[in-house]
Amino acid sequence: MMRTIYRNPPILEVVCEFRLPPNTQWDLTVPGLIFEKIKDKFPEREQRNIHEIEMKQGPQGMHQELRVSERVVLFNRKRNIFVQIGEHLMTVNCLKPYPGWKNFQPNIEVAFRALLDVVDVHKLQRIGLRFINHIEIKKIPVQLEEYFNLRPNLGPDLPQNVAHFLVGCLFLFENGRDACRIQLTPVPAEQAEWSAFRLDLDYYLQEPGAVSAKDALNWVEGAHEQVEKLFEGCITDNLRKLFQEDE
Amino acid sequence: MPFVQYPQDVNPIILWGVQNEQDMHSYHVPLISEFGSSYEENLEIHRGQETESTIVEVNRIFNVLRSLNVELKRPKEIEAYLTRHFNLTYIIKDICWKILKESRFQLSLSLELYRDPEISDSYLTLWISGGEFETVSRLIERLYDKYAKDFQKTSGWLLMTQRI
Repeated sequence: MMRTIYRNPPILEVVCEFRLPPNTQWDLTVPGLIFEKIKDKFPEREQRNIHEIEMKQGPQGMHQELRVSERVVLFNRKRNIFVQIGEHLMTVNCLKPYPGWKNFQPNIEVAFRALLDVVDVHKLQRIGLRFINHIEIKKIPVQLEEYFNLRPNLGPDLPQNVAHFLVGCLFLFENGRDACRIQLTPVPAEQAEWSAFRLDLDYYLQEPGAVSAKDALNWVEGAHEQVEKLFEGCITDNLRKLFQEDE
Repeated sequence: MPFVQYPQDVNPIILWGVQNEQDMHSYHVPLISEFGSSYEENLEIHRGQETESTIVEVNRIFNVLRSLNVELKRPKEIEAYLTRHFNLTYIIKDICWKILKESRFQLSLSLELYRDPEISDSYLTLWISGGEFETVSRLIERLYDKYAKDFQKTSGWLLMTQRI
């Protein structure tokens, strides 16, 4: 497949996430052992607190538990790519400026291989590859059909001047093993006379255990190809011009 | 079923988990807040159901701040800073809530990223407006003391100051 590369990509963040089955052996030494293996690429180590609510079904019905869990975060020197390690979880995040898949993917590979060296993993509970795009258009109002092929469809009896919307679709792939959730919504623009939108594509393994650890990186590659196609399917040539497609 | 108390200024937009009329009083979980804001978003009710994103988490907290009428100046700059210094996000949310609660919402808050034009340095500034100078100064000191340990663990910087 011909890959489209943009000089001005709208990507704000890319996340690749690996969740391990809850019965995977895990202890507090795991983040430190992974750090030792990848510290050349990710030398800055920090702790991050995550506030979580867990909904649990108990004998007396649903109840919520608020807890604060800790993550180890390993940053690269520029602090735009980092690996997060929590219990049964590893994510590799890339913030703006996105260096392109060719340059980002090796970071995923290095981190995941270090995880496999340290933890005995057979199957993945969940894998996710998410691209969050921030799209700015110097126009008010924006005719959505000029820029987006994913947009709300309003019947003739509805008002046509939309003040806000949230449009989303869930697509299934590989006979339902994988899914991709796509959402488009306007967000506040920073400058007057501009409109801004967030296009969020989250491709994930929705069948727990359907991908083995040795196939996980191939899964990520396949997911990236699907996300690229879906992204291209969501936008029109007008946006491609804004992102400055490389010849 | 437990009852969840929300700040009065947050209006649940959609209720889910409501199985019958009686449940309505005991199980309110507001969801969705791109259209408004929801306290629950900050608590990451979706964890495990979506691929985790730092940007999304920072924006959830932005929504909480906006619902408290905290002004976010040039939010994309703040967003970019907080995604790199994430622990600061929760501290800022807690500090804003404490200032507003303690002042009974008489103080107003504005957050912005300050960039030093001469050296490559930037930090977040929380401007506090209204109230008596001495009272607000004491409040700021108390907050710095209270969060000293959290600040030590955080890579980013936050300056709290009064707008006179």
